[in-house]
Amino acid sequence: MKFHRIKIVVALAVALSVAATSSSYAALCVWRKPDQDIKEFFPGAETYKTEYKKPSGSQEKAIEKRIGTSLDPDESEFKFYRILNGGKQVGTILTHLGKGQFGAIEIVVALDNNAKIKGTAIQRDREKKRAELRSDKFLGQFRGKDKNDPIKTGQDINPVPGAEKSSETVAFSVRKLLVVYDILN
Amino acid sequence: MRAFRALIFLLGLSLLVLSSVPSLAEAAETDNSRGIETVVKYRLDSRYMSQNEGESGLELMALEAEITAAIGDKIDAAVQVPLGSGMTGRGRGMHFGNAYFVFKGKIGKPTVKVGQFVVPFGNLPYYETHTRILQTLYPYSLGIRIDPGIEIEGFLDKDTEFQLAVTQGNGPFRGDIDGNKVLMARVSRQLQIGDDDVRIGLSALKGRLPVFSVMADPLMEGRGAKLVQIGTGMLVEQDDPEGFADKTRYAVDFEWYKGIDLIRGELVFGNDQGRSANGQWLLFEHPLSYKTSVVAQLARWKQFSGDWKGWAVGLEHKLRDDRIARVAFEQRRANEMGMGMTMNMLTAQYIIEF
Repeated sequence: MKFHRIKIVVALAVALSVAATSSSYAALCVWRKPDQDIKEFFPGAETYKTEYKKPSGSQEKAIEKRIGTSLDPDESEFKFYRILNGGKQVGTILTHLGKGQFGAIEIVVALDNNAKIKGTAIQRDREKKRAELRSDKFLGQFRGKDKNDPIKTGQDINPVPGAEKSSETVAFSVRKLLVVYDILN
Repeated sequence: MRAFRALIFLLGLSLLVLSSVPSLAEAAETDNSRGIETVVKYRLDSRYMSQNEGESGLELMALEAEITAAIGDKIDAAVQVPLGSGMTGRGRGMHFGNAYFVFKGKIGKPTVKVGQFVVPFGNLPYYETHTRILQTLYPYSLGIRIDPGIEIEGFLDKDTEFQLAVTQGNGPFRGDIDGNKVLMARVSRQLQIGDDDVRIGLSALKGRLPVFSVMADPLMEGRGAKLVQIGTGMLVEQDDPEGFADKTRYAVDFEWYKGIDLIRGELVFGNDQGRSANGQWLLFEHPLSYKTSVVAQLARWKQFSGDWKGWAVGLEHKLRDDRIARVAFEQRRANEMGMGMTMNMLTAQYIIEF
């Protein structure tokens, strides 16, 4: 009986390991502080609603072509948080889980209705220069940028000294979210 | 209570129906017209456990679906559906049973959660223990993790959060065993100190809850884990009301992102019908890279019937962002009613999310 159970568990794990390579899976990055972020980026806004966006095959290819790399296995779906005031949409917030040196960097990007960046925040990270990465000196550089800007360290973004890789992770996440928004919105 | 159970059942059924459309893209498109968006996430958690006390072998801990839904801009909902699990008894109820609505107010106003949810005590609101090998003190400190009830949560200011909850105290999908309710409150504050992020929480709880024997691991032993009577010290079954006690609990918990390291801790103290209970828990996690990290844990619990002390070390490796492998070794020494026991447990875990 026990051997039978072991076989079932092993079979399930192997089957799912194979099958899940192309299956759908929601992006992992949760939005941790909606109230505070909305107050900061969209003062006066009353509420928000969540829209799930799943790219089609062609949209996925278009995103990957523009960002120059594949989407992560857990990025088969994106959440657009529509910020509302008086029933009207005043902007959108997106989140992304960037790959830092020592763990995930959770990034929040606020866009106005013209897809220009109103603000960027880091929710959580495990990086070494945490305070500098979260400073307005670094994150403020993204404000006002849109899909037409390169958003790359060494070009239009100055990295935090000593945290160049982490800075580029943040820049890449912002760049990716702008492309995702442009294609899926 | 019947009406409450029916509500939970209807919530689960509704979300399952809403999420059963052919693809997520179609689901989003279809549901937009009704103002409802749903998403389903599946998880397989398989573990190999080797221990000197109890059974060893490969176990299906969970094959589960987590369904979340956003209903317009006013209501969010979530339900956890165990499609298969080797877990039984009250240990199962500590892992499975989330099913709730969240009614959102305007930005800045509190939200109301109704249904079965993880109770807001200690580090539970911020530390998702469900998929972890190493657990915190809640099986002994509270005797429950998920419970039916109502919770109000919100912010006192930008960095200070609060939760207030009333629950029934008997775990998910169980009737109220005694009619008493459990009251709990938690307040936490987020601080940035230099390069470090720190969250400190204070919690208080009062209510009638199950008391597990310290010689039992309720998560691993399923229905075999015994409750202990406060008056006689006798061991009883999990549904025996005599194994419940009027608990008072206070906790200080923290989450400290110290450079690249993460330290979590919890100090709990209080009493079971006037008899002292207290415990300490500390978890240290050090990342070696984005994919790999090591953990170490120290824990201790003391109650009227006895105590246990334990330590553990572990390793986690992300094979991909949706595949995690973990291995951990844990040792516990327990004493109760003049009996002693040392438990050694080696666990290997493989999680696939899809």
